Amino acid sequence: MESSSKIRLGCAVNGAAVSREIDSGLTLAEFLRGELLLTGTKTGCNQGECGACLVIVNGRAVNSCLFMAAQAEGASIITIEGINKNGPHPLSSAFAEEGAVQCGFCTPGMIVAAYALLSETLSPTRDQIKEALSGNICRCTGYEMIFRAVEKAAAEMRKKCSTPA
Amino acid sequence: MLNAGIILPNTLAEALRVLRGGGRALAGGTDLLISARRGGAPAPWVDISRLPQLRGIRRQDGHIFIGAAEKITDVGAHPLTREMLPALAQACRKFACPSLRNMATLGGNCANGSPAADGLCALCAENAAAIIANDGGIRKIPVESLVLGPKKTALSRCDIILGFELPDTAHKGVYLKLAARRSFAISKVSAGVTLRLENGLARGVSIMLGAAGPRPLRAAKSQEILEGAPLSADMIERAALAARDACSPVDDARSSAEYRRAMAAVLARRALSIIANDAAKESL
Amino acid sequence: MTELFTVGKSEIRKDALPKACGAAVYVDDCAPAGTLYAAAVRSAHPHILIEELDFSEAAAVSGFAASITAKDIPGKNQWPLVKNDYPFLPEKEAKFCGETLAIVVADTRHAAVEAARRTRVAFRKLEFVTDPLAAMEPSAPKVHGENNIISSYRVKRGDAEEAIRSADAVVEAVYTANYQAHVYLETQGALAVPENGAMTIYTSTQCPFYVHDAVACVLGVPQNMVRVVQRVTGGGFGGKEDVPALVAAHAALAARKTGRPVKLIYERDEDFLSMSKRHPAWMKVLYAARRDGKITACRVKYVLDGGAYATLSPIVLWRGTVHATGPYVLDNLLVETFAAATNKVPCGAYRGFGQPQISFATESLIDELAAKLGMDPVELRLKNILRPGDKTACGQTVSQSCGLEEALLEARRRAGPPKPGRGTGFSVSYYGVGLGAGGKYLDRAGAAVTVFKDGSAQVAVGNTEMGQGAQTVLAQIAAESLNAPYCAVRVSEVDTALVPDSGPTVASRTTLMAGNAVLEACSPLRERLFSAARDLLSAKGAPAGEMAASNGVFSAGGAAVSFAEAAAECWGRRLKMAEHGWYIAPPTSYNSEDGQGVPYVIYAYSANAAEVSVDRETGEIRVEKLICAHDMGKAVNPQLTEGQMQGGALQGMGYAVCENLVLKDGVMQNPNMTDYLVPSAEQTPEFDCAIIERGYEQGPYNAKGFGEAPLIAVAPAVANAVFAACGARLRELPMLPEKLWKALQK
Repeated sequence: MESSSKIRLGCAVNGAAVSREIDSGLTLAEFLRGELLLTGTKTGCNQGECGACLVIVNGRAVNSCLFMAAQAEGASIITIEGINKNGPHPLSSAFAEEGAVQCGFCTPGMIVAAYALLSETLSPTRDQIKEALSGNICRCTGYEMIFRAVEKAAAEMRKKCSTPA
Repeated sequence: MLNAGIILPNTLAEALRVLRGGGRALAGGTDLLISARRGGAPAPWVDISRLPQLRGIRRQDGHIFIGAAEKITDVGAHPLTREMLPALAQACRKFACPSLRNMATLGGNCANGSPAADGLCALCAENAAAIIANDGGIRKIPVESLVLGPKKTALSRCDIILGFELPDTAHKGVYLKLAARRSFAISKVSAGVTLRLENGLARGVSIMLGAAGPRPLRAAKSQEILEGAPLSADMIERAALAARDACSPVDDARSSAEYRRAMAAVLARRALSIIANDAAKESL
Repeated sequence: MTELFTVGKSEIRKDALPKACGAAVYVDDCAPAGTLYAAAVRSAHPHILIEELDFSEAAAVSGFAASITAKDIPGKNQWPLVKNDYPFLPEKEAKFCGETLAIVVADTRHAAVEAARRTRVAFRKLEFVTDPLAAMEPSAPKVHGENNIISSYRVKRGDAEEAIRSADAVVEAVYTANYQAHVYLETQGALAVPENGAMTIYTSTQCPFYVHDAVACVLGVPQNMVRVVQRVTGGGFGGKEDVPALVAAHAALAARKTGRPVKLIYERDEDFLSMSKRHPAWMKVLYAARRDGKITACRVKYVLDGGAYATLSPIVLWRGTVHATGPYVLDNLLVETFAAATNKVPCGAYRGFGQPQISFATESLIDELAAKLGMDPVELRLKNILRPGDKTACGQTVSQSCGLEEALLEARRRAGPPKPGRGTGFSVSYYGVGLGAGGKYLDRAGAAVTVFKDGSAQVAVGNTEMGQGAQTVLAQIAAESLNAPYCAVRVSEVDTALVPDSGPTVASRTTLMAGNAVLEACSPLRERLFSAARDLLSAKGAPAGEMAASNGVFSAGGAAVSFAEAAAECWGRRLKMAEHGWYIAPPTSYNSEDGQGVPYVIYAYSANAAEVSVDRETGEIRVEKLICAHDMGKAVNPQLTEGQMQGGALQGMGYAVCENLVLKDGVMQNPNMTDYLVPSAEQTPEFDCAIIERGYEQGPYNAKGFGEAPLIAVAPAVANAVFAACGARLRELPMLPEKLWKALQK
């Protein structure tokens, strides 16, 4: 077995420039969790089947467990920590208020998926919410309170948009 | 960490050279990383996803070209796909889940060669050809000839699918998928249908069945039955039964051969009925 | 009774915001410098004799640190759990495909996995048995004891055979249920840290004390040399009751051998292969009735497939036995139950714990009886369900805390009239809260409450938060008792150094047991605080007499004092501001001959209604709506209670229609989330939940217990709805489209 070679990865994570020498065999999930100690992103299956590892890369949600870190060269990455870097994001607050959090393991990935949806539309229908979250498995809540949380956050964010600064 | 180094080539020529030296092509990674975790292929990966030759969705030389490394999300959302390739557009929307659609590619879906692959089946239904490059040059083969058996393709490790060439003629199309969960599940059986309706008669009928055999299956007999015929309930039923007879599905952890065979007929009938009903509505 | 200020309110849960911001720390989220990584070497066959474990190629992997086999166990190679038949690592014989044979350790997870892959196992295949009924035949290969029967129970009342003979209507059928896998989002894992000759374990668990027992045992050290700290736990549902002890023991062995911290985190496929499951079941059930619908007899034969080691099968079987006949008045009954050993993954605790399987059978059969009698299924149930004063199958008198009738009527009311193109089905169930007579020696719980100088309070308990909301509910109970503001009370993860063995967090027992322990601890603190507050109010000129205490404020005659001020005053007086509590469950009993006695201290009662539509061509069942009406005594936090109803109902729905573990000759074919499908967001039905409160006086603020009831009878409600929708009676779980399609072909 040959050991993986080292490569230099340059990207932006949660708005900050990052430049690291890493093992080329690292997945993006391993890079974020192990190298940058951003452990908010979880790994539940390492097969892209649960959505716990979702992060935003160049504006789109991706499964970081199936994304090679090296492929993030030059990319802009947002994790759950970044979404909350200026205090609790309306999504995180709404999840907390609406009972959408139980064990919490799916929650970061779920919020990332919702964040991606809300960056496309602030008035999602229930069906659009279900579709956006269709790749995120929750075993605890039954999803209903999660949908309500997304709707609440969307309403909150619409209000902020229409309120003059 | 996976047992594979990764190389990001800047040009197609560089990519082909590295592949010749023992690398393995990687684009979206949604299949390859899973098999690597199980102990597959320690060869270095060659990221071909950014090569310009594999990108773009456009009209070109009387065809529609879809780059092999375009993300499923983008393929499905593109106006050209929505207007001109309805079965493919529907398949893209039913593919896995949103985040995986943001990563996966049609090139990868074909190269992986699963008989249950939705992109692969829909491309066949749309009569697509794959444009393949290697050191020797470029060749074009029908997508349905690409897959030889379950996860076995006509591609060598040194081949790169550059993209797909699809006919640029208006037609109807439907892609239906039956799985154990309404979304985000591998097909137990699927049906991709495209055809034109000219003066109420079906022309250029293309019916592909997914997960109904070792490779995507063209329901040739069904196509024959409908070619030049009206899409009446009677004709549709005959075509659906012929589709059932064309299958050679397996028993596996997902479903049974008996069920798959029966459902092939159901999906074929439903897909054809949708086209017939839509056409009837349009003409009102 | 004074109005409550926090109990009964939907307070925002304590741990929600940190979890929603990615700040919660699970086992895999941190490790001390120098941590090594472990991986398991597993058996690939159902039954083998191990001839040799060869680590020479594994040792050549760069970063390899150590290998651990049974020979490396300094303590006792016997996991102390119920029947004590499960070795931590096999000496010679491995009994199921997926069993851990050895552990390897390396400096990265990748290297450990590679080393495990390169370990050569020389073995001989042995005879194996996979069917539990076949396993009970005399000729079957022996997996457990002399006859493969792990446990067996009997409940008998009256004369069932006579009642069956003289009945007007008799229905009997065989039902089966397949495995259910927990699929908690966070896989199993443990971090073992050796320090000063002692061992600290960080674990994802529902029972730190089982972990404590196991680690002390395997290391051969006294219990005071082991400390277990629970990390935020990403789901359990019973799957993290016992087996985390095995995972932790393996990590501890590796840490002891290397002298370094060792982290062992399971991949999803090995979690499927080797960790606990809901028992598959075979059930033959009979109801006999008079023409007017009065059920006169019930006969049950219930067989659970226990897998290769006993683990919790005896207790799962016992709960299933006690509840087997359903929540009905029955003068004549015979229940015979068995847990059989097979060469497959050992099964254990899963939300409902032996009840969902038999409930599927009996609640489906009740509808079959209704059809035979030409009666409405709800009317038939109303005629026979338990009411206060009635006796259960075990002869226990039902107390006033029984809202079963109300739940059923509410479910029917909310279901409304049948809708075109859909079918509606009902079910009822009851659930004995706590460990009951079958687990009485474990049924105690502790608490330690401290009020700090600044008026913040810390509550430590022995029962774990795993997402169900325990920390929040217990904080509300403590706050209410102390008159502290809810926001001032913190309940932390369980640490065996803080509170002694409080038993497992199972059996929906936490609110009752830990809640009462918290109340006991709070009681003397409350006295001191209230007395100090009274004095402070007097000093402010308030007249003597009634003092109001609510929401962290003490007031009288226009003057007010805060909880923080009262706490500071207590500290100023050098009073004792930390107390322990300990609650032992009230007496229970169970006669092993005929199952009569008082098996549980109290019951929760439930009614479900399911509304489904069916695609007759494909056999697909779409659950459109789930109505859940439950009596849990008191909903301490209604939002959390509803969360349990919805989450439990969806797991019940998955069990009913789509979760299918496939084994072929004892080898799991789909140990992954690709092909073992749990419900996704797009399958969510409409939920309609009703909280019914028939208080239990001995419960904290009259609460009973609630995590499991929501799942138990969903499957039969769905099955009954399917029958209503298309006339097909399915008697096998899961109700896959293939099965309904086949039934409709006939």
